Amino acid sequence: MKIRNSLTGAYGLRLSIHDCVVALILAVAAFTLVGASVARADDVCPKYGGTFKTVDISYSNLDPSQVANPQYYMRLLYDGLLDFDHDLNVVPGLALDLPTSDGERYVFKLRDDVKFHDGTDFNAEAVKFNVERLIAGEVRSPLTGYWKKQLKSVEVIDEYTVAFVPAGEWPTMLWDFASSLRFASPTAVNELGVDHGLKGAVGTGPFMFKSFEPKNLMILERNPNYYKAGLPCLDGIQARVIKSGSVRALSLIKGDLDMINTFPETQFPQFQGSGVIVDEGKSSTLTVLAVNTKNSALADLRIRQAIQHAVDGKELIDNVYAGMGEEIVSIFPSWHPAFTVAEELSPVRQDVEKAKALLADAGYGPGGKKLTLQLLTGSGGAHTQRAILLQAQLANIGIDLKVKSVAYSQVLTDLQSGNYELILWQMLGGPAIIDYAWNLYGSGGPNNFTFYNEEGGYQNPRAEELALEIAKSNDPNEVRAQITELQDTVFNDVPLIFLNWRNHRTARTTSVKDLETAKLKGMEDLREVWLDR
Amino acid sequence: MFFKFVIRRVLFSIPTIVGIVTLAFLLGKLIPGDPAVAALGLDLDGASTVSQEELERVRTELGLDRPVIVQYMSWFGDALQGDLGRSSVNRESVTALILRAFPNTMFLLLTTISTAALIGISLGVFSALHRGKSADLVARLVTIVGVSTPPFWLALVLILVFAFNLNLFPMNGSVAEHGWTALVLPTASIALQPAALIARMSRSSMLEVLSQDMIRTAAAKGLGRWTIILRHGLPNALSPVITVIGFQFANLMGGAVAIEVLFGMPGLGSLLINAIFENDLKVIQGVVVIVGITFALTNLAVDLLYSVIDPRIKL
Repeated sequence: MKIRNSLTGAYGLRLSIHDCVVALILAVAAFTLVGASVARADDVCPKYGGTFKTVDISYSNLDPSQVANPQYYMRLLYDGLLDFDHDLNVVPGLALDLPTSDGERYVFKLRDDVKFHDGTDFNAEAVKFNVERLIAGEVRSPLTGYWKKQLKSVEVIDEYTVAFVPAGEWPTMLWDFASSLRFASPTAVNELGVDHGLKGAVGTGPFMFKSFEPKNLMILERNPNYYKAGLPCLDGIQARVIKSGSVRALSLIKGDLDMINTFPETQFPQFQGSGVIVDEGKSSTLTVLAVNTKNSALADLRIRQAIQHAVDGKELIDNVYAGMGEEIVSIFPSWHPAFTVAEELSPVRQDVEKAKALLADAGYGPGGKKLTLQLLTGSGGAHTQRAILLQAQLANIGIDLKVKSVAYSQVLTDLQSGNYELILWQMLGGPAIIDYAWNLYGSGGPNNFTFYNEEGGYQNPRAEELALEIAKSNDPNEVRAQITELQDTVFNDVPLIFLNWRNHRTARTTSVKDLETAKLKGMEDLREVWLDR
Repeated sequence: MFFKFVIRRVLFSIPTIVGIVTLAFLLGKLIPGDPAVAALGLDLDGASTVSQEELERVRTELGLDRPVIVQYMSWFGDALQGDLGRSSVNRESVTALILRAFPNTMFLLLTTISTAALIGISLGVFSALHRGKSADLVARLVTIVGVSTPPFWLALVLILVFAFNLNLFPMNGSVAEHGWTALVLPTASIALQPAALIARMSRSSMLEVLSQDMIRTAAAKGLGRWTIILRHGLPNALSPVITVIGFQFANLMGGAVAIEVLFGMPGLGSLLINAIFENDLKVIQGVVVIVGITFALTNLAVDLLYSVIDPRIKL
């Protein structure tokens, strides 16, 4: 209360206890409000705080050597030397820049201001420790064999400089560094042993491990010392497993979840009018029938072409993917820089009469032998629906398709071992040209499971030559002619029966901001996502 | 006498448990797929980079290259000491995994069977006491609906009404997260069927007992209606009902799998389903052993309870 000093005539303050309490409350409130808006000098998020709740953590272990869906979970706990942006361009991560090469080795200069969540310094020794741990197979990882094959050695040059000596040509090196090489604290790994990833997981990432129950619940909290100043925006992440698609959708609509990124297209109608935002990433996964070209019947080009002409990938898109897919017009996805529409698409389009003629020419069909093939597929959901449609489409030309549904892990095991005739396969590629060329069609390509151009399988030396030429370049414009010729060749040789591209999708509540659906399934970046609640 | 009976029944259970353990091991061996592939982890959508050399190394590490009988003896010996091995997928101790999941399943099963028994016996007795009347008809209709309602469908309806629309209970999660409220909807989903079966058995058993001479004698002695029902009728009618309760308890272990998965309860059912999908041999074997032993112990408990409730049963 303001009072006048009777002697000086000046105004002064005489406060009662009540006034003091009110003033204190106002001061605290003002401080809180002001503090909230200026507490982070390096604000990059419009709003901070909140726990982002999502689902589908299929990780059994949170060690950086693990690979599972969605992939973005690993980027929450760990960082790599290289990172990638939304357009899947490789950018520096814990390295100051992209590596330099002296012809024999790739040299990375590391940031000197990064610490692991437990306070351990991130440096060249930590890099070497993690790489050698992966290569030695001290952790069971699908990456071990690959890195062992690609990398000859890793050398510490000084505290913040490390060199990698490749074993040979390594066209996907930058992407491999960005996508699959991440670092755990050597201190934590030594302390926790085989329990690193279960009882603790210590990286340098934007979030820190709080608790983890494999295949049930993962809780992460904000790393206040993240090297990217001002990030992340969220206070924490909670990911749980909800197997039922219906419960997952209801939880999202109700607001118990903020985002889901795996759900069947059949659930789209459930979200209509619910306020949930469904967003699509185009042509994320390639759906094909892998053909075992060592099989006596399938070694015959006419039979493979007949199957390709019998199938209608568009029918699968309309009936199984609720229209959320794209027809095959290239061996590359539509977002890829190497995407080139094939001039002649008739080899990968349905033509039942042509299919029957090819089959008859090969000695099958009316008056000839009956062709029976086995299709191996995953069980349930889209796997089963696709298999049933394909069975009906092949029945149109007289092929009896026996469908065998097994766990998808078994499908992949049989795919890799060549123990199959036809396999319904959904392939997730990457941003590199090689992913859709050499890897699938070159002899020794890591994803060439059809024995195309391999001993005993169907051979086409020109396709091999083209795949090899393309593999040597990272610039699609340099090899555009080879790409065009390769896709014409494989569309004609049909080592894979091309069905369609399936779109990746995310569904989120309106309070989730700055979340972009990734081009590749599960590659969303949550570091800059914020909640407007 | 009773003690000897207990000892005899416990001894008889041993070959059953050995049989369960052996079957669990053999079942694990029959499951298609390579545990070494599962242990290494599958790269996304089959874009695998796992080499044959790596697979061989991990097979050796897991002891899969040893003769089956050697693997069995080693596993059996460890199991006898309470060591069920480590998950081949994430190397976590199987015993620890089971100890974490077992209480969730037991919470669910015990609340379910208690609820089912309470509702079933009450409804059965009520129905028997009103035999032929409209109340009996309604009660019998309720049991028919109960037996015919698929738990999975009921669970979805309950979730939609009580969790989504009314927001009274959580949609999913464990007791540790939400307390007892996490058990309400899962229990209601799977208690209906056993409750209906128990009600039907209680009704017929009660009707049989109520028609016996002893009941007429008790009434002739001038005992009150409820004294006759509760002291003479119900205890004598309970023996077959206990058999049904015991059987239903064991049966629920299977039914709980789907409900645990649906409600996201991290129990034995969820653990088993995940292990099957991942081809995690040691976990599959461990869960089968524990479920089998629980089944055998439930039968043992029912047998012992018989002799307590009805001393006429020959020991």
